[in-house]
Amino acid sequence: MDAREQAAWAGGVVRALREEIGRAIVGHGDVVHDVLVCLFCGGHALLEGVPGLGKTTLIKTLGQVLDLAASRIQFTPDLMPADIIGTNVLVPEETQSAGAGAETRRHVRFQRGPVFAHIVLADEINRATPKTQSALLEAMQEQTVTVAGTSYPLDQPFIVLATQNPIEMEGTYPLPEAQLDRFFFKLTLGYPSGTEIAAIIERTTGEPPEPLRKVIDADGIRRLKSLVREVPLAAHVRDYAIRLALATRPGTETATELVGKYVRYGASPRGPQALVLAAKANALFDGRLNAGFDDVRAAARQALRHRVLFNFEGEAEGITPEQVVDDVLEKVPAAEG
Amino acid sequence: MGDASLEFRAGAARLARRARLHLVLRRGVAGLFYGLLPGLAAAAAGATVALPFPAAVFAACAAAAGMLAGAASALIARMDRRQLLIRADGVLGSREILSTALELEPTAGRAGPFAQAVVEDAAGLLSRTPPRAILGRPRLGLAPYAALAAALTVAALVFPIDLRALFPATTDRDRELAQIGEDLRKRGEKLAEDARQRDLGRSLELSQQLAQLGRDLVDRHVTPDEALERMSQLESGLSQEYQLRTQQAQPDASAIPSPGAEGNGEAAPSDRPGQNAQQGTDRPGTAGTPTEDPSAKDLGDALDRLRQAQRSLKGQGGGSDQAQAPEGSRRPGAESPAPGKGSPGGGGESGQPGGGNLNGGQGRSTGTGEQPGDPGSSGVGSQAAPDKHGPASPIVGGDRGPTLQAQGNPGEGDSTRLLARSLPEWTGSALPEDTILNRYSRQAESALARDEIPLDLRQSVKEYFTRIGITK
Repeated sequence: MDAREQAAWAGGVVRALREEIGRAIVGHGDVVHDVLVCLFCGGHALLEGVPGLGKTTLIKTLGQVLDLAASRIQFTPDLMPADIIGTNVLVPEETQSAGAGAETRRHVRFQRGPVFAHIVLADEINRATPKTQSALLEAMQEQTVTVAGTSYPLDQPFIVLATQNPIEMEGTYPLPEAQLDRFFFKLTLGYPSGTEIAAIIERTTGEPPEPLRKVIDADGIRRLKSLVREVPLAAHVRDYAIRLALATRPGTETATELVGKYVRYGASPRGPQALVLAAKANALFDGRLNAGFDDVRAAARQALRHRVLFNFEGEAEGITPEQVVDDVLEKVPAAEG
Repeated sequence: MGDASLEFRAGAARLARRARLHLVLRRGVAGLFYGLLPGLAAAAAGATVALPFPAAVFAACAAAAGMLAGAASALIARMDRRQLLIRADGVLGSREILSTALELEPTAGRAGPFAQAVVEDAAGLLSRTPPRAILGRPRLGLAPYAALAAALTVAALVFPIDLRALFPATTDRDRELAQIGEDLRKRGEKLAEDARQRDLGRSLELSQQLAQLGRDLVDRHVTPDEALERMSQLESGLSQEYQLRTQQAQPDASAIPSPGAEGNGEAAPSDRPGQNAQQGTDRPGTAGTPTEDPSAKDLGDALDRLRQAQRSLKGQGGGSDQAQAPEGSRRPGAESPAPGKGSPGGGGESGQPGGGNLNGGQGRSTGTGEQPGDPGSSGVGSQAAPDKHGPASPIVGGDRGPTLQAQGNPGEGDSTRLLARSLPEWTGSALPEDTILNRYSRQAESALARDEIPLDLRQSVKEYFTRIGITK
């Protein structure tokens, strides 16, 4: 299969996934697309939205159409790290010895936690304590879990889809910057329109829908992931992604006035990494063979919004990360010179 | 792969050639424009100043040199193909496929499955798209200005214009004349207003002429020779008018003390009884006296100013005319006394009557003849006494008149006031006396015949002309 056929295949897979997910999820087409980008780029997504918008349904649906093992962790204040990653337990084992009959011996066995799945739904992740939240750090970044000095690799593909509720802030623990930075995208779900609500009611109050079709398996996902990374991206497009990320940092030459005034910390190197990978995925999903400026721009909000931290003035003025990213997109020219 | 790569290179080279052609045109036009500017300047100045070269040849050479220089710089300029293809991507909306292919093309065979396809697609896009669709028309923003500059240059060569005629230079002398003109205009208007209120027809006419002369000087509507001629006529008329006014105000002018004459010298009396030597003026020193008519004072000031203007026009004075003006032309009792040893002037405040030129006329005649038609023959020459700085300069005046000599030592003795009656002195006038006297005669006749002169003043007019010995 040559490159064009591969690109066409990738585009076809993504279209099929979106169509199949669309059978269960009404609206949120962009969010579905971005979740797929995260999946095929090997990243994780943080979904933010008020309750009832279908965050959990989206992730469950994703697990069904991808033919992957999915697990759900409801984060609560008393959730412990071991509840996520697993723990060592003593397991009795009967052994048959000569002349002495049966003998019971105990040994330690690692009991895998819910993180050992292809798709992990970390529901309301900001309700757990930072200690528990940090239990996901290694899993998200290194794709391994270490317990009692032993590392356990996670199954591939592995994606964490975390959700958080932006309005109930009491008794929550906002995610630390280090953990936020590990999310490839931060996606926000908005309220559905009247037409979409009608469709939701129609689907959920009538006959149970037909089971979803599995579009792609783990092998296909791994293949598509590698294909994304092979999409060519010119140096000047890469430089544009870098300049966008740099422009979110106060004190740099390309920082905009808004950034200089309200932003405390800008995007880390993971920001342009996410931009470039997402641009490649966008191009491939569009059936194109190379990534361009538009592909970078299309991923800028999702990749940079959670990597911009405001100072006091920014918080007081109610500046949103989207405002900053849009300002950067407007002020930073695509091509230099 | 090789074919696609070659095709892509050829397409990129074709685009680069087209871009270079545009650059040559753009820079050539810019060079033409900038080359035309000095050519235009030379063409415009050719009619004004003498150029060491033909303006047309220079303009043509400068334009050609500018155009060639611009085109040459474009020919040797480095074409950035990357920027060119980025621009092409932007124009075509090809999502950076051309610029990406440029990077991938050298290693397309080893850069993964997508690289080859990208180069092939880019090559196909370039072969399908004519360079004109990417680059558009050459942007020759300076072309209209170059055409305009060329047209102006040709026009300047075909219709040469002497810029000096359009923009006459303003010199210090022009400014000085303008100041004089402005001053004369103001004084003339003031006198005219006064004459209008007092219903003095002749005075009104002279004042208006004075104001008009001032305006003409300001506007430079009059040549210096014409101005001098008009000044001479005006001075004649104003002097008569002034004499008339002062006679009316003080019939016995000889009894009027001259202000400022407080030196201790003593002047010798004239050797012609009945004639007083004139001390360099035709205007008795009545300024500041309680009996002087204010309008007469204005008239006298205007007269002084007119004489200064005459000297300026002749290049004899200007600047601090009070210090440089010939004393013989200064009114005694004028606002600005003329200090200085050698020139006490008429009624000046020198206090050294013996130490200077009583006439102060710098060689001008101070003849005091009262004989009609021959004032010079009976003029009174005057000669200053020698002072401590050397022998006094003999006064060049009426050749046949007696010499007036002040006696005494500088700084000693009582002051002596000299008051002389004479014909008005023609300071700076180049006209022969006969001409002036004839004109006086005509003016006297016409003045007496004018109905607008009130009856009670006609006698004064007649006495005026009788006094100066003109009327028949």
